[in-house]
Amino acid sequence: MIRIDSVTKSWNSETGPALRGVTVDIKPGRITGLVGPDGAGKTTLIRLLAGLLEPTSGSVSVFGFDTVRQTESIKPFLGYMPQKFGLYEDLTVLENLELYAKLRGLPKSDRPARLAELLRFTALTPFTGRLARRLSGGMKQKLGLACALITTPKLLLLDEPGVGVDPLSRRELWRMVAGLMNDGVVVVWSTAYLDEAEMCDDVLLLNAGEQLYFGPPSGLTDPMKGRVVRVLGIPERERRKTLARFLRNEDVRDGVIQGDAVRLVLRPGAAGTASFEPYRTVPVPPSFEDGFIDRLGGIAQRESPLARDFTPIPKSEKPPVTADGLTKRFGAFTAADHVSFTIRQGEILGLLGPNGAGKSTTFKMLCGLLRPTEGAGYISGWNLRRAPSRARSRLGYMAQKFSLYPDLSVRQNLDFYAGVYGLRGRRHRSAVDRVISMFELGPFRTVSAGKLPLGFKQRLSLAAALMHEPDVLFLDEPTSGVDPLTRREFWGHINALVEKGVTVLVTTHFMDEAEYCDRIILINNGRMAAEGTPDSLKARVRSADLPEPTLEDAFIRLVERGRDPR
Amino acid sequence: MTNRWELFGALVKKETFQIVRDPSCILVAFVMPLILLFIFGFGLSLDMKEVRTGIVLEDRGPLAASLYDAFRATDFIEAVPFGSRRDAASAIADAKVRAIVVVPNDFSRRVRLGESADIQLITDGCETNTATVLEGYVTGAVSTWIAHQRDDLQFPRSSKVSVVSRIRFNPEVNTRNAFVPCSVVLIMAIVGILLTALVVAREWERGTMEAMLATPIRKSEMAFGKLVPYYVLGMGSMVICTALSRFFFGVPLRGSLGALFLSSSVFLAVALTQGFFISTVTKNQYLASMAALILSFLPNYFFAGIVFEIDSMPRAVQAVSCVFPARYFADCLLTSFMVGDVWPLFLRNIGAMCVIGLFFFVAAIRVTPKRLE
Repeated sequence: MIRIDSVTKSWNSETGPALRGVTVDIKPGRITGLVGPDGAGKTTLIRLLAGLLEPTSGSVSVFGFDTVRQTESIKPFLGYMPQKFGLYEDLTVLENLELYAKLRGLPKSDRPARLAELLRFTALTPFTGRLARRLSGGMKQKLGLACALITTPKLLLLDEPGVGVDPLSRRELWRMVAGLMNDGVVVVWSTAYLDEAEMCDDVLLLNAGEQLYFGPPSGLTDPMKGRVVRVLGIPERERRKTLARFLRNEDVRDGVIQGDAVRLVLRPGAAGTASFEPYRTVPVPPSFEDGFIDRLGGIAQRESPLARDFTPIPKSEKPPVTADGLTKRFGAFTAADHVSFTIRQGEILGLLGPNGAGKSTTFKMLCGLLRPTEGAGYISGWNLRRAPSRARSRLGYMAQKFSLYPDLSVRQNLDFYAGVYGLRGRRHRSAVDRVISMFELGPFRTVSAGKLPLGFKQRLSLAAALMHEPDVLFLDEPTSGVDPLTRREFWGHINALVEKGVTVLVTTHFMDEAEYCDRIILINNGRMAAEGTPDSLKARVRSADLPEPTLEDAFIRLVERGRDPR
Repeated sequence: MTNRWELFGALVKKETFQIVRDPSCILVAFVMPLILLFIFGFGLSLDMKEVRTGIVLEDRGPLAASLYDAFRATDFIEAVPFGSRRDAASAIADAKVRAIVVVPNDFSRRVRLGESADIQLITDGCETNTATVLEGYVTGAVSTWIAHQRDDLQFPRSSKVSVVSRIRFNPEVNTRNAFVPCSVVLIMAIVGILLTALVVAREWERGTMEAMLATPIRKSEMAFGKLVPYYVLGMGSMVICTALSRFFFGVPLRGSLGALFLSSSVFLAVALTQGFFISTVTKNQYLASMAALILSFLPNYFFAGIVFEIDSMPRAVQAVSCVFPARYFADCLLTSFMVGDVWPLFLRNIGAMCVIGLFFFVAAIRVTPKRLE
């Protein structure tokens, strides 16, 4: 068992402590989920448990050993998988496993059997000779887990193993870890995915270093019973506007678009009284995420300033984005095979698919970052190959990792991007001033981008992408590894933009993010495997044993259906 | 419980795989020394050949013409004729020629009358070294010419030009023999420090250090596990350097291979340890490579004795040079190549290098964290 006794960890006096007064007894035989917004102290706590950090005050003991004084006694039974998986990229799968087997002192005689078992368990047997850097995200994650499991640890620490990994791989990982559980093992699993947290036996909810809740997930979910409703019957084109209106309502603590409905979390006591005429409401069971957001005080950003200030884009007959038979071959391998679609003005299209399915390749061809082998992409009618700079001037791009310069101030970052977009003189100044006021970045003008809170970093990235008033916005996993609160805020901005006529193409692994899309294209093995609204995709996998499929269920079923028989 | 040797072997094996699969290591260890040695071997020489020198003949007489022929005949000057002083002056400003020799209008007349005749030499002051050497070459060429003209009856008395002959000593061969071993010292200092400067930083950047710290390995095992494979790699570049020096540049190797091996092993170990130390402190590949270049290349360039004699430096600087292993290795290497086995000198220098190496090793182990802070 593990005892965390009033642990405080501070780095320096300037920033507040990373953890303050956390006291938890973690029981063996259970999976404990570690959740909280970014900067809550999850990684710090995991590192304290691994003996990689010393608490500023308080103590951590693991199976009776103190992590500071008896670090060496803990290491033999510790399995630790850091955020970047801790793999050597230049070594093969087997070499990585052998290295960790030796470092952890697995007896030579046990080695062949144990390695074979782990390879079978992670389904990596066919790839033993492949270099770790050539593995997909999901495979790296499994190899990382296998390395952490080599000596059958009694304490398994997993630090956000699911970031950037598709839902299919995440489910497999969960099954593997759940299969290991026995009475002697302690698993601590830090995650940004709340559906994962919901499956844990216990969760520890942290916020800004403080412990908000510890106990079974139902402890957070149950009080929400009766407070969650689905609002039905909203016309398709009105959903976003209606959600924005609902969120201004004092009785509403949280709201998201879910297919053709809007899902709302109400203030305690408001369940009976709040009405959302002329629409029909039905009560629905609460999820862990509802409890999480409620415990953190509901969503802060009520309405995006963009709804007020963004200049609407004039209506145009030309489709903003057209993919016409986009094909990309790398040697004999076809990464994308005749992908064709168009996006209407003011539509959000989601591009989904497992890691390595060709979704990023398609996305890059449409941004003009990759030249198609066959076919063509058009932005606002401009061919990306024949008129690349014209086409690109019509699109704004926001990458997965914020492409900001952390050491430059907000103002300097924006000045730089304005220059990149070719804005000079008065137009430069007015563009920068416009986005600063629009995104309410004024108070942060002189702050270094690296020191901004995450939500503001995201705003700044978006501001940089919108500097030249593009018709089309491309978002590449915009909220990967971001907590639900920040994600809500971000989508608030996107929804406001779409209302103003901006067209959005987004790739994502977050299924609740995919729910915001008007239409989804599922790419698998380089081809378009399915296309439709979130609800129609769910309807396609509905069956007797799965009457209420989630979008994640739909994703997994549709991908599995499309798997090559070989 | 754990077999420490096996654990150590696993680290060495891992590091070796990484070296073999990372082309940048091979580049640093084998290609870089080749390039540097060629640059130093050919480029770094204080002697000159065929320095482009502009000749302006204002005097059109046969005497001046024969002086021009004399300039053309020397190996050191490549005579470039110019029609006027102005043309020549613009050529020297463009660095197309390094010097100008002007034979004035009245040259033949004054020589025949037995008066002193002046030849004007203008050198490029930007290249002070070239300028002084060239002055010697030109006066040499003139006096040789005068000696030849003595037989001529029309040549009553010579001008008062004193002769400084560079030709007889032919210093070229000697400087290269000294330059090449000194270059090897510098190259090995850079190679050794660069190889390890990146390795620990890379582990921090890729997040593997965090995973390593959570395993039962010890700090010293980690350090040796990294140093041993790079030692083998570094000795590979030493072999290349020695072979090139001996067989391509023709530098004699008068000492034994054993002594050479011993001194270079110790020096390489010190350089690798310094790189390891830098890497551990900086935890960042970019910073580490900058620090390695500034802390090793620049001081070692001064103290390896390539261009500057340590003995002619101020005392304070001489004291500082004691901290840099390059000066000791330069002593060993020069002796091995040019003189032979002089064991008292070897042992003294190797001892000094061992002290420096030990210092950096202990420091590196000290700064290797047991935790992430």
